Amino acid sequence: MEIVVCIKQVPDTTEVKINPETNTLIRDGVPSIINPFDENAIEAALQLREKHGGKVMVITMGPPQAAEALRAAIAMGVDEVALISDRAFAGSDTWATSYTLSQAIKKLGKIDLILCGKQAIDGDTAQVGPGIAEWLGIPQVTFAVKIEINNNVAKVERMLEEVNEVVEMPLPGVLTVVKQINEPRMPSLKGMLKAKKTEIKTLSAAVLEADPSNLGLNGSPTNVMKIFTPPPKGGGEMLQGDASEMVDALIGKLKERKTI
Amino acid sequence: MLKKTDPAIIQSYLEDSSNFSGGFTDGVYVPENENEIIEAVAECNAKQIPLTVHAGGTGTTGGGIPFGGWVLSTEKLNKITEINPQGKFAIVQPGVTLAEIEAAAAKEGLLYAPDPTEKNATIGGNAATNASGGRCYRFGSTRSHIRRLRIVLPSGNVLDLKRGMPINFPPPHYSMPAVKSSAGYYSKAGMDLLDLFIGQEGTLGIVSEVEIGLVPALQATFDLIAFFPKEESAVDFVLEAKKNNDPLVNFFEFLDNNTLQMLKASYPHIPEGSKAAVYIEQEITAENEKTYLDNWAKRLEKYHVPLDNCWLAADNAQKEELTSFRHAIPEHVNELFKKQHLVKLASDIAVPAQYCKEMYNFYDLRLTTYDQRLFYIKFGHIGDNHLHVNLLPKNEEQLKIAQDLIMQFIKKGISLGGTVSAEHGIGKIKRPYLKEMYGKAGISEMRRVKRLFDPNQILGKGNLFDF
Repeated sequence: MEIVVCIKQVPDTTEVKINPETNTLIRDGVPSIINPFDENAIEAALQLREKHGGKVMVITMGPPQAAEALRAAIAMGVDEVALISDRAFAGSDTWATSYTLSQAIKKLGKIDLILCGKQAIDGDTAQVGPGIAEWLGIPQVTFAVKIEINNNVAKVERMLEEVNEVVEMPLPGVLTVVKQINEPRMPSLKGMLKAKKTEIKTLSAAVLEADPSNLGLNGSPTNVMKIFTPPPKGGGEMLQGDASEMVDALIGKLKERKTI
Repeated sequence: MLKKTDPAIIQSYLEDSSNFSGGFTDGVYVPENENEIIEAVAECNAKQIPLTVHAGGTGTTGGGIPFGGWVLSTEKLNKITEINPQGKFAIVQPGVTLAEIEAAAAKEGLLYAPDPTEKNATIGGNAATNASGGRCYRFGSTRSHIRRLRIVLPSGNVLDLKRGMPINFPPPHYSMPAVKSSAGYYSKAGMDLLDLFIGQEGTLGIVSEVEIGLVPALQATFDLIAFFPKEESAVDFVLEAKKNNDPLVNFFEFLDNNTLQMLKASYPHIPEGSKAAVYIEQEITAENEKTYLDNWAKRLEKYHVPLDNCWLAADNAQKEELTSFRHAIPEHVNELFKKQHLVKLASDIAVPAQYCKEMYNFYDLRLTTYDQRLFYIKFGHIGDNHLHVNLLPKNEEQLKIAQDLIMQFIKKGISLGGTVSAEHGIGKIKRPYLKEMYGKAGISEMRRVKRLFDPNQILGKGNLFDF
């Protein structure tokens, strides 16, 4: 089975800071990691490889330093990696990103399955996985929590808010996974040694033979008007005194605000 | 000063992590400063009422459990007075927890190095037992990091003891084992008086202030857990690796086969066929990382460890995962014990380096030839030649076997020049072992020193020895 996993390098923090001038993420001084959901996707791919044989390839689109995320993937035990990097890709939204990734996947030969995390923890759009399926014209199933593959058909359990749903999808296709699907393995010493000496292959816009009108900032129809952190909720007020005093105080305050 | 006497409330001061039962007390002092400690001590000394210090409640030997009299709780002595980045030290009250100290030090780019596993333990409790942890392999135990203690004596006098102030009376007359030890009073010719009060387990005086040394925060590290196909070869591997005397190895920890089987339900990625694991923390720089990885790989291959069976944590989340894997051992043991077992018996023996293998072989032979149904695990600080053996007997018959085994371990450890308690202290449950180690003469030497400071024998009743 030939599996491609698409990953993203994200800042290692849940408190993402935003540059108010440019409306983009501030990455300086924040260590980077593989997007946690993408680690689940890698683990799912490795488990499928253990069961069905084949090869796991990991790709990421990003600046040159995103190669570190690919090295981390090698340390987990994947077979091949490629960095999709070119100044022409800068400023891509989910449209351009999914287009670029799909062009790269086309260059990888015959692929049975494409795995993504359900979303990235920085942008949180959850659009790139489905976008890749659309560009490639193949089926997709999102929020996978269990994957079984038989006779070129993936039987997938989707984790929805209230219920789980089981669907079948013919391969090739795209799956996005939730974190409940597995516990990603630790990198191994063997993988780390391989990661240190692997030369990371870079795919440029020219290699992808991509349509420039779908690339980078110019190829991105989304226009981010403003990004901001909502102000934190103010702390509550603790009323003092015994029960009846507090009840009186509360009624007073509600009247003051004309709530009652 | 707050005093608690409501029986429902003071119940919680009758327990620690030892499961030692039967404690009782009339009330609890909760001082907030040194003057209030003096007030409590003076009251007890005048009326000759026993006074037991209760700190984090994380002790494993019952040292903080009172048997009569009053308790002095350090829960409100919980302020960090100063973190001094230039001088690399901190001044704290005794009830501050390790978690609080480590967090405050980290903010200044510093580290409190000893690293005992239990982070809810207090610095006062650590000083009382000369506690240690994984990184003591590199940095030494609590003793090496205490620069000064303020001590309230039963007389109400206060000693301000700095490192370098010599003892002014004959120290206890016996020789200490040449390993890290938390068994009884410290003794060495020309020792500092300060050292007597580290590891005294609340029997000589009450700590009111601690000054600890800090070290620069570690550079980058990688954490490696290697899974061995044979248990014994994990021990041999560590003994050989230690010969390199690499100053940048923070610790070597050992997990035996039973420990791995116990953890397998929660950690399904533990490789099939693993019989033991060794956990190493290596400090690195960008320049030497590759060399270190290559060197460890070569050493491990020599012991037939498949390199894809070695977990390597490089980022913080992964390191935290390995740390919680290590911390899961005591948690799982305690859970098992609560579910189905009578009592947990735990050894805390360290021996001189040249006898580490002999001690391991002794454990292995005794544990595998006795009753096969008795569940046990061996794990811990193998870098310090210090393995914990935990025994979980299920019935009275197994309990007798377990008690007998522990006593055999104790005697073997002593015969090899080791200590009966390397880090947990003696408290109330390991007193027979202390007596075995130092004999009657040694105990009466401790008693002599005890009387110098606590003539009415009010402090720490039941800890270490019979007063």
